[in-house]
Amino acid sequence: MTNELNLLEVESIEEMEKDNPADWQQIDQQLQQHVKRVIEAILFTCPDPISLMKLREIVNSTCPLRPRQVKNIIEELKQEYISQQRSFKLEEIAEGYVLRTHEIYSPYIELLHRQRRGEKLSPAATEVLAIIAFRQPITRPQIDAIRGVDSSGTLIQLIERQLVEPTGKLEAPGRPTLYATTKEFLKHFGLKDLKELKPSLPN
Amino acid sequence: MQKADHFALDNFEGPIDFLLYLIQKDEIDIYEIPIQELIQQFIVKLKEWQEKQLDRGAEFIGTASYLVYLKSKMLLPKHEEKIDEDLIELEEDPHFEIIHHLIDYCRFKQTTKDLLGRQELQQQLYFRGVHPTEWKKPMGIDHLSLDDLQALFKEMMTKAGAPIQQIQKENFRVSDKIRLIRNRLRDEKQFSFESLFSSLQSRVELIVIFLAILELMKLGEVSVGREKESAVLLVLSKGES
Repeated sequence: MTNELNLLEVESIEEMEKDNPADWQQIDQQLQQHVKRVIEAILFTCPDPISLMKLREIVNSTCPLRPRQVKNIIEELKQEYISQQRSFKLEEIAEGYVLRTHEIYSPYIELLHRQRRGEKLSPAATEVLAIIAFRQPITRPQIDAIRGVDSSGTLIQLIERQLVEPTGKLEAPGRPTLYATTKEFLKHFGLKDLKELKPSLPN
Repeated sequence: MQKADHFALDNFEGPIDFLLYLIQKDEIDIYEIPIQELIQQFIVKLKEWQEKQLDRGAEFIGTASYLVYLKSKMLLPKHEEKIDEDLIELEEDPHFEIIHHLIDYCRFKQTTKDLLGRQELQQQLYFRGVHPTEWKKPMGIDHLSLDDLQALFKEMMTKAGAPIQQIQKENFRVSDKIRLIRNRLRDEKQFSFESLFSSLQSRVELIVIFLAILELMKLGEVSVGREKESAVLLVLSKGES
């Protein structure tokens, strides 16, 4: 009796060992493909960058994965678009992931969307943005001191465009408002995060 | 001429920017800025610009005077108190401040350039969900329909037809109002305080009437009292009561 049972057990383990590696890999790949398509579908619906945390949260509702695994799948998707020479690409912008069209097709898209030209920032506005980006949080008088010119008009313009936002008050006489850059800023310049900007600053 | 000047002004974001330009143009080592020369060039440029636009000179004067301040600080003999070595080292070079400022600005200038270049590239990449915008109609009479023209003409005519009317400023005098109140009191003996201030009167007129009442009270001609039962404020002739 016991022998028989043992035999059975051995057999089943052997069976498992025979089939499982391939089986598991298959399921794994299937699952991976599924997750990849889920992420693709989400990105397809989002005009704004979506964070890794958020993507993982959605994926985890069906299949718990580690952040690194999700990141790998996203990377695979990104490579897929490149190897298939798709008209769009998956990019990491403003601390998130987003789909954007390939620059090759911009002359054609431009024929449909004209407003882009108007969105361009002036050199003065960009200068103020650059100062805020590196010295944030910073007050307006501090910006003025660096530039040697009044920046209030430019600053208002940047706030209106949501590239800059007030983040608090400096504990100093007059309690001047402190300003910092927003995610919209990163999006506008296609930056992953502020760290990506730092190397351009010679020290 | 004017255009060229305007262009020159727009080329610089401000006096610091111009200062940087001067240093680069003359290829001066940033650590050895001849402040006096810079001031001279600054003033020349400033005069040039101020002929056209006086209001834009303020920031330049600010920076120029700062340069003069640094220069004078350099020329002045140093205070000979050598108590604290560190302290003296700290205030040693007046150049330091402006150099530090310029280097700082230089960096931001470079970043600005990078960002502008980046922007150029980024403009070619489109996010999802951007609504297509219609082409703007070319300007010209072609795109105007007969109805448009008619509407425009009507609009013009109504504007042209509206007669210009002048609004005359009204002057209210306390003496006039005093006379008015006196006359009224002669006829009525007493009347309610409120009846003096009809809502039709302007604010200035209301104030003048009030002043007239006060004046009459001071002169002893009038008293203001409350009616016992209705609690209505009354203006009474003092001679009567």
